[in-house]
Amino acid sequence: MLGLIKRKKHQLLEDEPDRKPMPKFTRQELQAARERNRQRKKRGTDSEYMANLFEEHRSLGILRRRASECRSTLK
Amino acid sequence: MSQHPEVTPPYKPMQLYDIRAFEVGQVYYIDDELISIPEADRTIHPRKTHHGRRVVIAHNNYLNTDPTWPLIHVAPLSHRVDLMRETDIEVTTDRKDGNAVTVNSIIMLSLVQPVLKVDLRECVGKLSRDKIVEMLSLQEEMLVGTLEPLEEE
Repeated sequence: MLGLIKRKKHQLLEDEPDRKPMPKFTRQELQAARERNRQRKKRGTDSEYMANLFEEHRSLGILRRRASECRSTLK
Repeated sequence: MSQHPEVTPPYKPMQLYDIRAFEVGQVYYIDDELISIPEADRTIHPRKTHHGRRVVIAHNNYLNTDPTWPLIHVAPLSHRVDLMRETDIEVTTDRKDGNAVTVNSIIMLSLVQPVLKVDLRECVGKLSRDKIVEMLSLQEEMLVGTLEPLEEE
């Protein structure tokens, strides 16, 4: 079985179409990217996070109320 | 061997080999349950798994295109940009970030993990070159220990 796999692997490599070359990146590009990562958007505070959650909860209020009315009608 | 994973698991040994040429920064769909997210999987409230999850090819090496190498390292994406940490990279729907996402997302580099190439479904896009270099740069920082925490505003 192992021999078959090895033969198949060999065949695969031989049949291999022209492969795209692996992308190359320069040290300068990596350095610039590191700087961008350091300058990236700040994470925000916990209070901002909670405010966002509350806003989402509030925006779904109408849907919740209508679903609740619908459920009570079905009973 | 597979050009596209019409084959389904459990695989026969020869079905593990995939002749597709994967490239760093490409984004693929994969079954969500094949991706491990320990902080969500190992709690009393099980994680809600989705039909599919976007993952990005995280490493840049020749094994990505070697049809005799069945594994590939991917980083999962999440739309929870509000939970971004220092090990995440934000990707927006802006064309300057590529065409990899339909909603603003984060690439979770702390969850880079090996998967089978044959488990990757269709390629749905690719990160821009700048975003790929940012991802590689952050992984390098994580590897060599120069990662800095995100500052609070």
